[in-house]
Amino acid sequence: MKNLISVPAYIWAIACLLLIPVMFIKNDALARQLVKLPFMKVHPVYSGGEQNRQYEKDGLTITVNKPVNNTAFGKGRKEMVQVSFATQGQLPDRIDQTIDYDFNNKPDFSLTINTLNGETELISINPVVRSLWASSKVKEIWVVRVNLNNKPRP
Amino acid sequence: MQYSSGFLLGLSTGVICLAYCGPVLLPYLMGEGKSISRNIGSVSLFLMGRLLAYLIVALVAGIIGSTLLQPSRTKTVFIAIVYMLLAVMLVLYGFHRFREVCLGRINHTASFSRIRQWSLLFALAGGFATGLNFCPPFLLAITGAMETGNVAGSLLFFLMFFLGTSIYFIPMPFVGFFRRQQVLRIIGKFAAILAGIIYMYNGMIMLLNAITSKSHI
Amino acid sequence: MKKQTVYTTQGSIWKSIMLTLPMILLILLFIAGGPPDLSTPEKSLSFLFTFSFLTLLFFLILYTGRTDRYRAWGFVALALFFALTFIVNLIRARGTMTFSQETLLACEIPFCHIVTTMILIPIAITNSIIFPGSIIGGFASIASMLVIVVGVSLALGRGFCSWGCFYGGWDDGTSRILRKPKIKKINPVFRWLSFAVLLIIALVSAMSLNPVYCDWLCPFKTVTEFEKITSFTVLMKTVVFLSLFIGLVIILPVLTGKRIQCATFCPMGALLALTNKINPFDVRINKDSCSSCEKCINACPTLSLSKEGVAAGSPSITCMKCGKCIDTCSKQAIHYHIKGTPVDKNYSWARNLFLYPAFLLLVVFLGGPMQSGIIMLINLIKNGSLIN
Repeated sequence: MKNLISVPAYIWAIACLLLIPVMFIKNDALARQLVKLPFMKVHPVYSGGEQNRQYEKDGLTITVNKPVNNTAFGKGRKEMVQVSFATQGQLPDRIDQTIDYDFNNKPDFSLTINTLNGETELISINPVVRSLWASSKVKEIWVVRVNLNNKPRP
Repeated sequence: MQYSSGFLLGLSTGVICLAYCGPVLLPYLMGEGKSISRNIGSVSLFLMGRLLAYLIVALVAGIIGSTLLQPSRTKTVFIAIVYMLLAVMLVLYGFHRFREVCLGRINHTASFSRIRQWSLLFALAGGFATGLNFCPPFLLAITGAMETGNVAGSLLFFLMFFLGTSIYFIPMPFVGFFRRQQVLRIIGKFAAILAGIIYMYNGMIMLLNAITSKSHI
Repeated sequence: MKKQTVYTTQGSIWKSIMLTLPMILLILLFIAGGPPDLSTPEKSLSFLFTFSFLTLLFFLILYTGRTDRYRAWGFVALALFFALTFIVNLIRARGTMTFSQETLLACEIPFCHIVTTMILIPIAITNSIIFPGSIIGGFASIASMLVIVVGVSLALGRGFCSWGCFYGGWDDGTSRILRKPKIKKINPVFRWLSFAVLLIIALVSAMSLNPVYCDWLCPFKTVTEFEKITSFTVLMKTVVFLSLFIGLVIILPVLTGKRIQCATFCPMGALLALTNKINPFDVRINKDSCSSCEKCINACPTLSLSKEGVAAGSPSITCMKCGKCIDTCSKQAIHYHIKGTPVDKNYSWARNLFLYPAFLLLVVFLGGPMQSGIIMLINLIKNGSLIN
């Protein structure tokens, strides 16, 4: 009986021996299969959220994402909205734009960005707009994230 | 019916309450190593502490209205002090009878002695402190309570909200299923100390922000 | 009178050479990834050195029967070369060890295996991963690292902590600096602290949607990358992780001779300890051969052995399968074992079946950084700079 149990035990051990090299050789293929699983996406708090609308203005392509919720469960107050600026060529030295993030025809905040040194000024028009979270060039696009309520991210 | 919406609000957002209470309640239940039936008593005490916190907030919401929702230095300082007290309790709980837990020598048949009283007081106080967490569902509950327009209505709304959130605490006593694993008690004690350190840091930062801020927080 | 089987891990030279041959092929396959690049003297030298080092280590493990002594050389080399190449590559790419807002916004933070402990509960609740990394593609993408974590858990369990973790070599190395530890008695209960760390960081990360161990605690940010200090909060975080590195990775391992960070603090170690249950390999003590001298208890760097464990014939689930107790035992009573097989038979089979995947893991992680690191060191000698 003990010998009978030993056979699958050794098979299991040999399978593990083979698993290591296969895991590394086929890492790319296995990773691509894993990506198909529904949870394999970065949380919007880190990815910036889904795109809401994109429009052209003053030579810039402005992309406003949907506001991102920072609560793990259920719905809480919306926390952060990402706005990005892109151009065909190089970004202008200065970006001055007023943004209506919820597209209700009422401006919510204005941004003044010095793309040379990264200095960004946020002027809140809608009281729900609280503070600036991040402003930086990412590849060839300028990305700004704005906190929307009284719970800014550290 | 307004009050049923309080229950529904609690039901839809109660997982958040569980998440915030988890780092306090779970180490406590693991550290105690009690049976499922005795854990029901501990969890009930914890929930009573939460209910007390909720009712106090409901009372205040009914009296001062929307002012409670506004950021205020007093509110922040109060919550910071509560967090720091909770932190001290967690750390004390972690060290309380730690040696006995490590050696596996626990007096399970202890009568209502001072040790047991202290342990039960922790459950009540822990529930009270975590109940004061102004998370988004809690803020929504305050808004809903204020809409009732009177103190009694506010209290009733919060009671219904509390009942809705408490459903998620039903599985917690089943930690007692693993009570024979001495290791889980040790882990629970360690976890309580770590949770205490986190709450102490949060409380100190809140207090520092409240003291150094020039305007409302 | 029962005949006692005298077991020795030491192998004959011919048997050792024969068993090393397949590993030589695997080493060539994994460190070269095809025909080796010998286009420059530096590349040739680094390849030959790496190949020889790894082959020699494996041969010595088999021939001398000493697992931990030679494993440790490779493991410490892994930690040092990984840190060297990581830091130098960062400075080449960004000019600094710090990561900026751009890296965070672009979701390009490398996904380290420890992050796994913080994403599991949020995956269940938010159906997404709370980490600013690349899902696929690039260096240490989330998908590729998760494949490795799952595979290693199944194959080796907590053996990863002694054979593959590119951080573990730090405190493994510092714990060997003093021949005799200054602090001899450590309460073994502290091995359960890492489980409490796992519990709390898993809960708090789920609560805050932030990988708090990475953000606040990971001591190994000291030797990889960390956030640029732009606020009081980030300054606090820097103080915390630096203190933990100095305390848990340098000072305490030197004083105690134990792997304090790995044994008492690392949450990934705690998670992998749970996967020891689904892993075929473990370490067992032959109670017939054991003389209860307790040398193994003192030798174990992870507090996994106790009097009760020795009496029961096995260490606790926190065992990292480093082999130190096996090397220490003068009665050769401790050995690697395959679950489901007899405890007192076929020791060599179990040992070799374990050593192959374990050493191969070391080869895969060490091969690249060692070659790159040697080239960097040659550049340092020739040009006075690691970077250029």
